[in-house]
Amino acid sequence: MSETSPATDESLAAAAASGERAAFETLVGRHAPGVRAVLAQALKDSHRVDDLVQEVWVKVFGALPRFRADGRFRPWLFSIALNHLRDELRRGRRGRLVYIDDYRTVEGQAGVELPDHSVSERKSRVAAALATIDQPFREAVALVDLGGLTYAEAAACMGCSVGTVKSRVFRGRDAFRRSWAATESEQDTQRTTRSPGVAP
Amino acid sequence: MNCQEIQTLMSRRIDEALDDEKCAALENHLARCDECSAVERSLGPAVALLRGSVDARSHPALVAGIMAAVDAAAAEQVGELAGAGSEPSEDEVFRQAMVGVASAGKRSVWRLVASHVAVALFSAAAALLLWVQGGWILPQDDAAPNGPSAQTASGPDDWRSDRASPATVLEMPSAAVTGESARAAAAAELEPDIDQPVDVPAVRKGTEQLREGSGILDRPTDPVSASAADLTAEADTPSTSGPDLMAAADTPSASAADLMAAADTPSASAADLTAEADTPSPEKVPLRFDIHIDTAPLALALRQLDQHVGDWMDRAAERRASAQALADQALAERQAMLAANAPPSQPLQVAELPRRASSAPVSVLQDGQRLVLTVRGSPAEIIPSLLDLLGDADPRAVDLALSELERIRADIESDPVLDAAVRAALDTRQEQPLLARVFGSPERRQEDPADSDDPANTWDQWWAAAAPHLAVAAL
Repeated sequence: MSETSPATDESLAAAAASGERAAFETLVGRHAPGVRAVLAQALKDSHRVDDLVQEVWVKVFGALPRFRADGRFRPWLFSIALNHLRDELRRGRRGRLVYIDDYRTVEGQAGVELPDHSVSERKSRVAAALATIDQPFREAVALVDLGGLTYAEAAACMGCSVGTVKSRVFRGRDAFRRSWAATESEQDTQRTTRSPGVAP
Repeated sequence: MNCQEIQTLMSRRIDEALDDEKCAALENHLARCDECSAVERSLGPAVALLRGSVDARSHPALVAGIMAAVDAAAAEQVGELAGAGSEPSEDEVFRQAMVGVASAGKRSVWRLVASHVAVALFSAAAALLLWVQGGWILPQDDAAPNGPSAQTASGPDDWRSDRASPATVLEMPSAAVTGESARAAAAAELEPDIDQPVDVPAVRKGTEQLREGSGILDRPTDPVSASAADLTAEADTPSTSGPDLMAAADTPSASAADLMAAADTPSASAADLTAEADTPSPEKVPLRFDIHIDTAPLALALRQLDQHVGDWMDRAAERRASAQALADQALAERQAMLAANAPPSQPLQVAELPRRASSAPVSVLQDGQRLVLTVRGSPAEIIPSLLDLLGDADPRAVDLALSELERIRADIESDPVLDAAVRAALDTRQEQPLLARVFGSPERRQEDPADSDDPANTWDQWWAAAAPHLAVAAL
């Protein structure tokens, strides 16, 4: 890799396509969390999600020489991820729900300090609420809110218009808001039910 | 603006700045709509919560795992492209792999086409060989006893005429795959067997199943056309975006990978197929395939199969004969046992008796090994038949008649005419025991002096005098 690392994704992709492993690793470090978040919204098994992330990046590695210099890297990357996820779901290896709580295990294996349990629990509940959303809206929300794509990038990734993406994002967010509110209400009920049982 | 449009604006305001006009409209609506205000208050935190669930930090383990997988793929790519050499660094492997992918990626589709076509040709060659071998396994045409049959001569031509596809133009000029040469090779290997067609049904059936299973013999160009169709569909389907198509093209499916592996792995059984598919551009498509078919292994395998099937059929025939002998012996033993336990067979001669039980006064029916006597009517009606039955050759019938006469003795004795007739009949037959059985022992009655004045004695005396006359009259 050259001394001055390319700043943009597109230049990094071009450098990686010319054989610079470090440029590719930079791209991985930059976008792997987002790709993982988009994949994890539809799969329960976190280990399978990690496998899928690796498969996506191997695909990207194989397809990188074809990446157009005038193209945008993020829509291209997330379209590969989304198509790979759809293939995975079509193969019937779909998880029932998303539970990101075992993400702590991955972090623990990596030697990273374990996150706060409340944070992990909240992630799990967020994932559960997200899993209740219909697929098109969930994908739109995942690309925009989890993957960090713009509406235009998400539209390019999903193969639809920007207006459609805006509508899907709103409906997905609204569905998530309702689902989250229901989850909160259920949590409050459980706390209320549990409190009188405490011995004086 | 209605509530739905306003709520869409809420979502957009979270991501991007709205212009002043839309922002003012949104605020005005929220000021007078409690429902939208409630949505607006909860939507922002929900989205923030959603975004906060993503750990934006790059996990070292995640990146390390991805790079390890990519390095493995790169090493595999380098191994495929250049073969194993000294162990280069990861950077070098990555660079070589990426350069290799870049150059190979341009022709990956054609490599895929070539792999499909190579596998199809391999299958066609195998089927062709079976076809040629079938010339001596199956009934042959008398017109061509030792040369290529009409089928083998026309097979390659038919194959050639149909093999052209939109994507490929194939050349198959090699004489190695013609029926003539393959037949000659097979004949050289199987010379002693050529003139003696193997007539083993199992072998014939197996060969036909092999042909049906290959699906190539009758329609030799199907695999080629199917492969071309698959490739066309694969090129058209994945998505509307270019990146998807490129990704799909660079990551062939498992079946395509298997096909490529199959194409790269020479078969050790029947054919050694070499495909050269370096096609830089679609304009230089013509592919050349040199196919060398070695018929010896297959001929040897068929000969061994023939021998095994023959041995198996011989053993099966022996087992079948042994089982038949055991069955015959068991049957004979069974028949002997039945004959030993059965009662002596005596012909029944009761044909003279009326067999119609419904209308005849006396009928004798045979129920298995025993006789059943059925009487119907008054003693005067049944006694003549019973007397006739006394003359039957079957002692069982006579015994039945006597039993019945004994049963109705009171009725007989109450009627002088009948009594005289019965006694005469019994006496005529000179069977005193029968007479004594029905009417008691006359000797015992005669020995008893107390019975001298008994009316029965008087009756006996009268009977002794009149019996002959009555018997003649009755008869």
